[in-house]
Amino acid sequence: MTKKYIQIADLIYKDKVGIATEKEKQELLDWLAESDFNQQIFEELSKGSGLSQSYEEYRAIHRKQVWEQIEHQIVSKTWRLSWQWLGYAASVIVLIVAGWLMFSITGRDEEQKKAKQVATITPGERKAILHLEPGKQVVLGGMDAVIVDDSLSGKIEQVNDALVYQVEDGIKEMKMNMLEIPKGGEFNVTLADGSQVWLNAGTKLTYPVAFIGKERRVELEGEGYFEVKRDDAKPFIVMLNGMEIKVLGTSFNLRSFKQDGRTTATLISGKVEVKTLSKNVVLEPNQQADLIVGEDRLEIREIDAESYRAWTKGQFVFRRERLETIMDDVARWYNVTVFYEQSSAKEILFSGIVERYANITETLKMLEKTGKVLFIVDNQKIIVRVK
Amino acid sequence: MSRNYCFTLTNGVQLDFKQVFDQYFNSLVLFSDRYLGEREESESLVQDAFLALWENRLEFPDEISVKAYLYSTVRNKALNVLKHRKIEQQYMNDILRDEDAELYYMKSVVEEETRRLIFTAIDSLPEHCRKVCLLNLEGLDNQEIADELQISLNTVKFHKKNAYKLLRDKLKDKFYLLFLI
Repeated sequence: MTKKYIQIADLIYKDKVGIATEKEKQELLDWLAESDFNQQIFEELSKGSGLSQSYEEYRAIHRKQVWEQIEHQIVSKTWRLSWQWLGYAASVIVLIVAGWLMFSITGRDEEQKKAKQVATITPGERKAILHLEPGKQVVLGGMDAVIVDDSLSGKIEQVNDALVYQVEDGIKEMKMNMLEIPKGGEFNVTLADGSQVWLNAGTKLTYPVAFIGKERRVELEGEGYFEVKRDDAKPFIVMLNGMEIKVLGTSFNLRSFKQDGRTTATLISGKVEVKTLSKNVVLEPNQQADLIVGEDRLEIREIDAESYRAWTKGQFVFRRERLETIMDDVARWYNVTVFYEQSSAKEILFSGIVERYANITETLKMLEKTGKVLFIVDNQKIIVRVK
Repeated sequence: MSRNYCFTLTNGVQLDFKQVFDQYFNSLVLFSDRYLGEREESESLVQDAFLALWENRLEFPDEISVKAYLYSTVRNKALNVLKHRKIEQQYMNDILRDEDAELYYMKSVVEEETRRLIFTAIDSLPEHCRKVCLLNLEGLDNQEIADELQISLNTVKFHKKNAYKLLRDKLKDKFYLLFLI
C-alpha cells in the first residue's frame, strides 16, 4: 500500500504545482471518491495551512553528521568483510589488502582535508555594482531600496533583489548607466521599456535610463539572457564584441566573454537579426549564431536553445563542451582561479547538468565521474590534472 | 577521491545512496516524529532505516520500492519503540490499533511525501522566488503576499510566474537528462 500512498502524494504535488496531466487528474479524482478520509487529507494539503512552518522545521533538520555516521558504519562493514576473506586467502592477498587499507585510510585523510578547503568556496549570490555616472557607484544585493528618484533619471529601485527602472515623462537627456556583475554574482534588471535582462557573473551591461529616439540600444560584455518587451516602432539593439543583435520583441541568450574570443547568440523565441562585420543573418528559434571574433567566422547551428539559458534557472548545462569553457564558468560563478597541469585537459569534452546553487564539490564530482580528470582544491584555487 | 555509493536496481536504473539520503532524510525524520514526538530518537531511527536500506540495496526492483521501503521501515521501527514505551494513552492506542493504524499511516505518508516534493522543489528555486512561492502554496492571494512581504503586487506576480515556470522546466529537464551524455 505504501507505494500507492507515495503515488497519491506525487499526484497531489503535480496538481498543486499545475503540472498534472488529464490522466493524472482523473487518477486523483478516483482516489478522492474512494473515501471521505481521502478527501479530508487532500483538502488539508490543498489549503496548505502551516506549510511555511513545516518548511522551517524541515530546513532545521541537519543531516550532515548523520551521513558521516552512516558512511562510517558502511565503511567499517566493508572492513570486516575483508578480514573474513583473509581467512581463506594466501599471504599475497594479505599484502594487497593491507595496501588497500592503507590507501583507503590515507584517502580518507585527504578527503577530510579536501572538505575543509572546499568549505571556503561558496556559489555565487545576488550582487552587482551599479555605475550611475563616472565615479558614482552603488553596491546592490543588500536591502531593497530606492536608489535614485529624480526628473533626470526617473525612478531607479532595487525591488526583491532585482534592479528596476521606471521612466518619468519628459526625460530628454540620454543618461547612461552601467550594471557590473562581479565574479561570484548574478543579478536581474528591468529596463525602462520593461525588458528584462538576467546577467551572469563577470558581466557588464550598459544602457540608457530612458530609451529616447528611434531605437533601444544597449551594450553587453559577458553573458545575459534577454526578454525584450515588444515595440515595433523601436527596435532593441544589443552591441557585443564583433556582433550586433537587432530585435523587436523576443527572448534570447547572448554570451561574449573576452577570454572566449567568441560571441554567441542563441534564440529562444521570436526572431532576431544578427550582424557581423561581413554578414547579416536572421535567426529562428532554436538557432544559434556563433562568431569567432578575430576571424569574423560566423557559424549558424540548430541547438536546443533552452539549455543555453539554464543558468538563469539555477543550473549549469554542458553539452559536449570544452573543459576550459566549463571551468571558466565555474571560476566566474564560484569566484575561484583554475590552473591546468596539462593544457591538453582544456580540450576534453563533457556533457551534464549540475545545480548552480550547490556546493562546488558537486560540480567537480560530476566532472570527475567521467574518469578523465581529477581536481585538487586548494583554498580559492582549483588545479586540473589529467587522469 | 570521494567515495561513490551508487547501486543498481534490478530494472537497471542506478541510484546514488547519498542522494537518496539527502532527498529523504529530513522528511522521514518529520514522518517518524508523527509517531514518536521525539526529534532525537527519530533521527537515530531514520539513520537505522538507511543502514537497513544499504544492506538490502541489491533487492529492489525500482525506485518507488526504495521509497516505500523507507517509509514502511521507519514506521515499523517507530511502532516498535512505542510498544516498548508501554504508554497507556488513548492516543498511542489509536495509532497501534490495526484499522486506524493504516489510516494514520496513509495520512502521514501522503502528507510528508507531498510536502517533501514541494520543499525539494522550493529548495531548488532562487532565494527571492521561494518566499512568494511558499506563501502562494499556503493559500495566500497576491495582495496578501504583497502585504506580507511588503513588496508590490507586480513583483509578486512576476516571481510567481517565474517560480511556476522554473518548477515546470525543472520537471522537463529531468527527462532530457536521460539523453544527455
